[in-house]
Amino acid sequence: MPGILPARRFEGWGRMHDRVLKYWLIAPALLVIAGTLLYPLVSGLWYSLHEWKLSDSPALGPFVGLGNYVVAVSDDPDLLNSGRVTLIFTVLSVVCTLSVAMGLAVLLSGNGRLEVNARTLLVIPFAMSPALVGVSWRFLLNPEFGGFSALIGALVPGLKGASFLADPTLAMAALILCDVWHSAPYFMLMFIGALASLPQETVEAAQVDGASRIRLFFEIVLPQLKPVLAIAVLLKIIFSLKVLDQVITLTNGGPGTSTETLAHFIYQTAFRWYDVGYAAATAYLLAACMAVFAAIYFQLITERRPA
Amino acid sequence: MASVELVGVEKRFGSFSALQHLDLSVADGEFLVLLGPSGCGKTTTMRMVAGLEEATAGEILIGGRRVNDALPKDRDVAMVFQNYGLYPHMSVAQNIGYPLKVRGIGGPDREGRVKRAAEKVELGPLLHRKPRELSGGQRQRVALARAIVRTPQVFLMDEPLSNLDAKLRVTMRAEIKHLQHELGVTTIYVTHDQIEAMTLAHRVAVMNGGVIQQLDTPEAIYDRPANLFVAGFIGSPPMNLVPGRIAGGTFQAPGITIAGAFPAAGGDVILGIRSEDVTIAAPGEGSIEGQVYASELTGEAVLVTVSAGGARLIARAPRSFRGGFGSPIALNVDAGKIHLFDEATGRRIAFADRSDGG
Repeated sequence: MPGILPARRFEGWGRMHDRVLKYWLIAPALLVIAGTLLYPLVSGLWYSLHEWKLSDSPALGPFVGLGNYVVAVSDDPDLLNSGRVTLIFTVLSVVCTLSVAMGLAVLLSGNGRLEVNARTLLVIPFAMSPALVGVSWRFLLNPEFGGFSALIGALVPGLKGASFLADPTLAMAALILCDVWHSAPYFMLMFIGALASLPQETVEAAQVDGASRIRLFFEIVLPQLKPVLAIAVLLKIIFSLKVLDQVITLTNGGPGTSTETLAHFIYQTAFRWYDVGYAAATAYLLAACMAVFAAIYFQLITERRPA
Repeated sequence: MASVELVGVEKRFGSFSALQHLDLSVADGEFLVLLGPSGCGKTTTMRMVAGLEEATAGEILIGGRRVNDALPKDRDVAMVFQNYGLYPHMSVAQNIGYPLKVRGIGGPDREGRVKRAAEKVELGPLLHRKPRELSGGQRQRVALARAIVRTPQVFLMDEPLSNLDAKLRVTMRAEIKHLQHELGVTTIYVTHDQIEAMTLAHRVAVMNGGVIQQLDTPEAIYDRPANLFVAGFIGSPPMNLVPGRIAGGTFQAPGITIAGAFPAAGGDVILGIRSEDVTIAAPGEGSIEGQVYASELTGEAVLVTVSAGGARLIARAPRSFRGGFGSPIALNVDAGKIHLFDEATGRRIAFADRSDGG
């Protein structure tokens, strides 16, 4: 009905149409994305097809086709080790982070003063830069003056004075602990939101039907959180696969290569050994891995939820 | 099966008092309906019996046992929720069987009881479906089946029919009544629909503002409303209420004069008369003279709204009634069916020579 169209229309800039204007308005954002995302993606792919050792020459070396990729998948025990480390880290950090996050969410989903304040406090770790988190935990885990080290020593006598970052297994545990501490709050908030949107009647019905608290959680609440849980798992997998900052500041991949994750391996290859071509190729392999999970993730969040 | 007793129960939410000193006792096997407008405390009362809400003061007894501190699961009650509260990730059979499952009843015993409960509410062929694949009426039946799958001490039903369409509501109403009769389980049923209350209940507790206004059989509540609130809440259309004065045994209001066996010293009162106790007369031949304000055909009768003086009254006329807007009309009231309420307190005034309950 033309009669009810608003009388005032945007008349600025002469005869420019709304249809054109909208593209101008998003152009700056598109430019930033192209510069920071698209350009590195394309140039990275180009570098990965070349040999380029910065220690030899600052100029791009000869074209080697898929040579870097062939070496990576067939003949590199160090990369294989990093893949194994990343797999262990990812599986354990996903399971631990989400379990802790779910536990916290159930504990803190109420609206009492204690719960609200505790929630606010718990967001702080997530707000910290991951590199800083690594540095903090390096101090906390110091066997001589670390607070956490002392606490663990008091709780588990066997670990009294243990040098967490010097033992391969303990270093991995420390890395996972630090990651859980950093990322669990984010997923806790996600789960608190999901818990709040749960139909309260199903919970009350189960209470009246006679379910204990444990049954209520595992048989009524958890199954209804499945869609959110699936998204959280995928998101955490993606986060864990690319873990780098904490690795650099906490363990720097050590001791030996026991905590050298793929991202750390790539970083070392490029900026310590200056083998940029090979680093680009392995980075592409990691990106391909993550793309699989990202694709499933987008599938999940865009699909229409059943009523 | 058991009786339910609430003794001096109060409920406060912060500074808001939802229930003030409620005394209520429901006999074993009785069907009691809590009726009232939203916010009157009826749902809170039921939720306290279920254990989903804690009583601020007072005692709640089920089968003579004090349950104030018992968890819902330990009260041995079954509840049907307004939005059914079905478990969306479970099939119909799993939903119905859940109360048995948590009690460790499994195998063929559970299967058999689920089947029998489902058959009672005619859900037999739908047992493998998920709740989202069911219609509103079918979901309601699943909720009912889940409540009857074991024999609890008390059934609690929180506006179970309010999400159904009008036609289905009438069918389900009869089914619930039949089921309750068959099972004989003490039932507390919450509704704001006075027809549901009248049709289902052995006794109705009419509530308003956190207080029980009247607790009696549907007949008594309809025939002898205890106060103005109950009089206006029960019946469709609601009772005609006309403020006026009794002097010399006659009720007088602008344009209305009704002679009857009224108490001599009446003073300011409100006269109540139901539409079916008002008859239409030719102009000049009634105790109330007025004009037709509107007439509505309901199917079996015509509801005629008449403006007389400052008041408007509704009379139920035979369906043959014809009267245009504004045409003069007179009304007579059945003197034996008149209700009187104190203007100041709203309370019912009993007066002599009246066959109450007629």
